[in-house]
Amino acid sequence: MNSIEKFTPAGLRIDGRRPKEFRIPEFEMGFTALPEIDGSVRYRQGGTVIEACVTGPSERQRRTEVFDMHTDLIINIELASFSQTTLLDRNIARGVAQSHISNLKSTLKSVLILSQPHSQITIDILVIQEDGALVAAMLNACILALIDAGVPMKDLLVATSVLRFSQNPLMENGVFVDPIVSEENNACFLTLAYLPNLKVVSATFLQGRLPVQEITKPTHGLIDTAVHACQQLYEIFKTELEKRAAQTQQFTL
Amino acid sequence: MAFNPLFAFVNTLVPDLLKENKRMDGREFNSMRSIDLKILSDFGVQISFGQTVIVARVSAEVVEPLPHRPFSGFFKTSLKTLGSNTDLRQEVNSVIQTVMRQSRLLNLDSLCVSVGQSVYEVVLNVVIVQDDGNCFDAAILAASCAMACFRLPDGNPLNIQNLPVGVTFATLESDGDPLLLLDPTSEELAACSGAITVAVNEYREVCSIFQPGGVLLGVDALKNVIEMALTASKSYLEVIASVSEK
Repeated sequence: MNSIEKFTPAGLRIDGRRPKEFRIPEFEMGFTALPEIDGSVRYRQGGTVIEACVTGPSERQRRTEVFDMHTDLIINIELASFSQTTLLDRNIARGVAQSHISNLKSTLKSVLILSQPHSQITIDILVIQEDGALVAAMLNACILALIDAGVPMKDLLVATSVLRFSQNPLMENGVFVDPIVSEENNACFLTLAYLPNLKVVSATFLQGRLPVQEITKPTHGLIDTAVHACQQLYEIFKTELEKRAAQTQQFTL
Repeated sequence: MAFNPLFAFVNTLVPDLLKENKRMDGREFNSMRSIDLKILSDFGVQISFGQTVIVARVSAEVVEPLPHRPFSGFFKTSLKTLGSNTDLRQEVNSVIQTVMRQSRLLNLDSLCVSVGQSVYEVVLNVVIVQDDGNCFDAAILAASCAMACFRLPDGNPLNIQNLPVGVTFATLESDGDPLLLLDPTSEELAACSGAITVAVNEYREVCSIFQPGGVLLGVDALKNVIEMALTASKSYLEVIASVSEK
């Protein structure tokens, strides 16, 4: 396609970051005063801004699976039509949102403890602005909202995206952590959800075409870079959450 | 969905058999069902893995290019299922999109007929006729075979060398590393906690990894699955090679 320069003359990325540097997320939990919402978060990671609201566990609405002994997880995603650089058609926005729902649902089901029968948890996600690493940011926002709602989970799931583009004259090994939209074009892109205490990978989505050793090689391969970034992100979340817990004394970690 | 006693029985039978290193149909953990390939009219291909049947067909028509991209053709994919399993449809659709379109297999500039006036729009249609587990692998294989035997209206084949194949393992929690079952049937998928699909091509490139959650894999276990997928992909790649020779 077109050859947008991935590096400034100083050797940094186009938004001034170093290759392995991710945007530090800021989040505000419990921002909504609505009584029916049990947990909420306004999550911002650079240009990606997401609001997530959690209702539940509450009584199951759908009567179809009467003998299902697990909590039902319902996810609704809405992509604002102004969330990308060009205005999104309503139908396209709905289609893109739909395609993320089943992936988010499976990832969250693997980490949440959903053992209450005849109940459901509803997560409503509103993507206000999107600037790269959308699935990872949605997962992080969901987990923080679920923590605010007090839903039990096996570990604090952390998700990051890493990217590799094929030509790389300057920086070592050409791996970018936490890409923005203009870096995502024509590149091989991995989103990884990681449980830092159990040290296991909960979900992996890779697209693009890349030789296998670039993905699996130690330290500089995509998987190891993503895991390392998740561990660093976890430390940031943990410090923030511990600070809030000390202030509000509502829950313990 | 009423309580189905057979379903509940299978859900306990499969893990019990797996603890004794056996699968319901007697296969090894890393062996796949036999692959049945049928070439249909109009560049269609039908692939069957046991009871899973998928049909893929490629077609092309001449259209006008976009004004700011006068060289580029178009490549679209579409997926239909007979039946209304929307979750499955979402997942298979997203895997096909990732593997066939986002890995940039097909060079869109090669679809140019006359610059600025006419280009080809290639459409890949995939239909899930019958689902007995592992629709991902069958759909990707059917799509790749259809692309391999397709000829454009001017008689040339598509300009692709590295068609991908998908390898799916169902994953079941166990005491050590999770158990991996290659080419799972629908009963095995229902009894297992999750599945991982890796799409590779013959040049040892990975086109897609799809693990939407379900089982927790350690980092080394994940890398191991990718290596196992490369080994297991050889039989699928042979099927594509046999189609390309025809």
